[in-house]
Amino acid sequence: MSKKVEFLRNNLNKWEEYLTQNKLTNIEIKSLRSFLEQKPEKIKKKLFRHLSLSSKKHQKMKHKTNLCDLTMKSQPFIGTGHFLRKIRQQIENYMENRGFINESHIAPLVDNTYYNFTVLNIHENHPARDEQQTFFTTTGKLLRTQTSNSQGRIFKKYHDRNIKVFSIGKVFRNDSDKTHTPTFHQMEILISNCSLVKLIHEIKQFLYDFFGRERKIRLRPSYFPFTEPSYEVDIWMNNQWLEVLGCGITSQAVFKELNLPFRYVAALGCGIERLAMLKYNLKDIRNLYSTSAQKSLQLGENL
Amino acid sequence: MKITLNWLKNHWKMNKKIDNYVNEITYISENLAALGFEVDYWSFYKPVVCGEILEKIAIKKTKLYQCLVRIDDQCKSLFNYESNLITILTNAKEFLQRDYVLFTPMGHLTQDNIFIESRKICNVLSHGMFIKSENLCKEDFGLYSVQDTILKIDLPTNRPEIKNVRSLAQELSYRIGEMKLLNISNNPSYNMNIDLTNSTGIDIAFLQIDKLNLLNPMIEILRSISLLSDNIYDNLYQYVLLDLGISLHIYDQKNWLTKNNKIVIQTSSNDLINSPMNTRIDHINKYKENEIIMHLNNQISYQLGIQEKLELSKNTESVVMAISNERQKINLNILKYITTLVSSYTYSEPFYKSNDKCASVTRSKVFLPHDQLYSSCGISISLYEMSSILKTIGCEVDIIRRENIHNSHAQFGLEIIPPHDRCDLNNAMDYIEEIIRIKGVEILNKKTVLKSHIWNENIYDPMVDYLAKLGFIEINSFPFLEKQEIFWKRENSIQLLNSLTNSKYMRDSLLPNLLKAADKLLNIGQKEIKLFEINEIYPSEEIHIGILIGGQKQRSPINPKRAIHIFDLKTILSQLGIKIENKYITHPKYQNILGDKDNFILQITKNESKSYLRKSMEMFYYEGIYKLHKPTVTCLSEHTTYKSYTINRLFFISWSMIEKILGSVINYRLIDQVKIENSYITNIVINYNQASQEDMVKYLLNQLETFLKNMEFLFILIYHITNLLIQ
Repeated sequence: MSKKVEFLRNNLNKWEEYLTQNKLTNIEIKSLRSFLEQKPEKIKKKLFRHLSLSSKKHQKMKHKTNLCDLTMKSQPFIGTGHFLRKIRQQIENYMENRGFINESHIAPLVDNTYYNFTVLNIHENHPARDEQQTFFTTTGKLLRTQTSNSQGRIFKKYHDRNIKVFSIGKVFRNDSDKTHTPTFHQMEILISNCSLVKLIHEIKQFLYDFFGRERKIRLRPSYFPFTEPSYEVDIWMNNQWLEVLGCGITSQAVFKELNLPFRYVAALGCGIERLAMLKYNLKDIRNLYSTSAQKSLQLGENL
Repeated sequence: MKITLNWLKNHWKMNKKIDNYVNEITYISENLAALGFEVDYWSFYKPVVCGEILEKIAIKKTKLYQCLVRIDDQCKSLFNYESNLITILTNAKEFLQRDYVLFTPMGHLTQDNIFIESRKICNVLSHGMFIKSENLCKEDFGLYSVQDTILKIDLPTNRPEIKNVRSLAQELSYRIGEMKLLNISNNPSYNMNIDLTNSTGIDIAFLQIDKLNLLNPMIEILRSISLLSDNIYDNLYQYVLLDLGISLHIYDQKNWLTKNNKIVIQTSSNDLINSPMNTRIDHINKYKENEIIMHLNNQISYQLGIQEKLELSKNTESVVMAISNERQKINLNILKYITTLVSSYTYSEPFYKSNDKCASVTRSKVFLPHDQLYSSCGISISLYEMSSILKTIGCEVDIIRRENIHNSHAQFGLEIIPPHDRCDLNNAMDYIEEIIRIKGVEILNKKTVLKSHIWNENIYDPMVDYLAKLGFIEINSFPFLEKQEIFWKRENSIQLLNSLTNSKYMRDSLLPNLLKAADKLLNIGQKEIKLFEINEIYPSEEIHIGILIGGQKQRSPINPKRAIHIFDLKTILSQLGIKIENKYITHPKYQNILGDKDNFILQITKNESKSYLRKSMEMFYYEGIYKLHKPTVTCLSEHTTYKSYTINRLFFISWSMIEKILGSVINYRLIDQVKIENSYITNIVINYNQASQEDMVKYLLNQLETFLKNMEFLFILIYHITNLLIQ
């Protein structure tokens, strides 16, 4: 039963208005007719007149002018852009507005071991070069395992000026489960002449704006071959500490490898999917990389 | 690394009283995390009982066995059993009469967190669940595990010297509590020049012995050269066992000691494979191939720069044991030496009389200028405090004066000699890291922040927004393709050496994944396919947009449906300002393809679609380079059409989109010029090509009066302008 019919059943005084203005379809009139038969004679006579008039008018109009029923409902389009791309664009837009230069395309996705490992102080027998973590190609190259492969190129490009850049893009790891996918997004931020205290402030600002409110953070000493000192940042969510990003001051070894003079460059790296999953309370990362349009729609509802 | 709380407390004393047990664990966990040793999780120990099977009867028509198990009085009272004889049902054949077996009592969790309750199966009440068969004996009878808490700790890879509970306790004592003294004595009969009294941590190496009968000789050898004290030996043993996922009873030191160092562990590969500990499948699988040991050795050898791998043989009788020493280099050399000795059975002779074979550990001096801490971290600590912090971790520190220090204005600094077991301390920044770690990382996190108001949820992306409004759904897929899915020539595509699946090729087109998505939609009864994807393709790594359209277009509920044709796609493309070159190209799979490699339209006929879709359907596809344009934008009021295309890209945007557009306009940094066709908002053309944000703001402020007509818009505008002015 349509909403109009339901409405008219409860409001008998509105019948005249609706029927004279031809707001009802033939099917609706039919259902009202059957409804009237159960009513007492007085009401029946009065309202039946409206009904018969209306249906006649309707038919005549249709017959003479070949007009279609304008009240018919159209089907709305249901489409959406992808959740993950939108998040990435939001972050890119935010970082640009904060005065960072976008250097996302400075480093290729299929890179060589020099920029992905050697420059970053990850030497040949390091466990990170293991096949279980890195995709190697038949041509001797690899799919970059981190956006830090842009570091070497950025330091070379900006060797004579201040650095305040970010790089966001896909990275690849040979791993797949509920919290890992072979492809995911990372963001790298590099700021020259920036102390650790300033970097932590920048991180807090980013997390505040990303999550829309202040989050309690915890720093944890850690180890990355290309930063020294290195810290991991945890945020307090759902009654537990959750690791969200890593940061530190770029190691002297990186500059040494590039034959550049050492300078203090604060670096930060974080996984976009991880942040998005925390913000929107998503459980399975694999849904973000699915060929299912339904899942895309479901994810799109979050934004 | 897994340790138990009681085990940690054997080496470390807490100087603070905490009544609540959970709070105590949380307190320790947080302090460990602040030192760089994150406690991944902690869990309570689950009780295990050892009983004797008196009788085993097979239940008819089932695969089950009814076992009558004898337990001791302590277990009877502890787990509320009515008598010393209980029944347990099992389907395992390996449990035999007169065997001593381990089982989880009722009312408790197993290691896999299965709750055991007494349950009636085939009219028999079962009071527990067997864990696994072990070579247990009379001495094992009774309560098998102790009440304790397991802490799983993630160790950083640059600290290979922290491989046991003692060194972890040492680290913890830098922040809270204090170390307990270790009773270590050197054996004077051999000329081993190892100073154990100043040890700040004990290193570990792993050794696999192929035959069990060599275990005892091994222990004798190791003891004879004072490599192990009894305490360390026990603990290390437990560590290895925990790491390999062997069952819990090994924790129990009393039981372990009663075994008189005979056979403690039986790490045959079969046992490990059948182990129910699903969480450690990786470890178990690696162990199966003897990789876990190699891996650990690799890590140590990496830190020391040793290329050689210690190859270990595969044997079901093999035993893993750990030997420890103060210095890693000595450790590894001795390890190699012992391996050769054991293989030749010449252990009885004194074999190590001088320390010639020990590699010397070089300890270089490092100078740390006083102001380096401030310039790198933004915090200042006095030289004396820095010096005392470094001394606590075993460094030798002198405050010295130097002139003309490179990259520094300071005149004073610290000259530091690292402790011999800390191979990670090499340069000044390493010591800065240590100072902050011991002082507390909280000192870096003191500034408060305020909301910046520049986070914009609504990013205007003309191409995507337009497609989404037309009902297109964007998908996001992995870039890997199978061999037969490659779109262009196979020779040009990138092939992976170590792919997880059969998808070994990097995609050269977005079509294969879009077809998979279409297939899924058709399979659930969808009749109209409207999909697109924006992703990179290889090897060019250019971002492409792929639009797939097909099926039946539903025009209205009354009029008949019609099949989607190429003009539907072409209309969309012309709206998006995309032009296709009128030139047919040859393709290995598809007959009808127009354009060039980076910008083409394609017809997928019913026949062609059969190989991809379960329901054959005619489809049309466009693929071209995608750019996130912030181009010339024309906003028009609702229901208005714009007929003359004079600028490169035009988008028709409904009134509801104005908010989004202006949001993106104002937030976009590189706006140069603003052109207005009419003074009213319904018709604005914004040219992005050459201008600044300030011009935009000034212009919008001047135009405020005209916008008063539309209050809703005014509200949005003022919001954005105030945001900009605040910045």
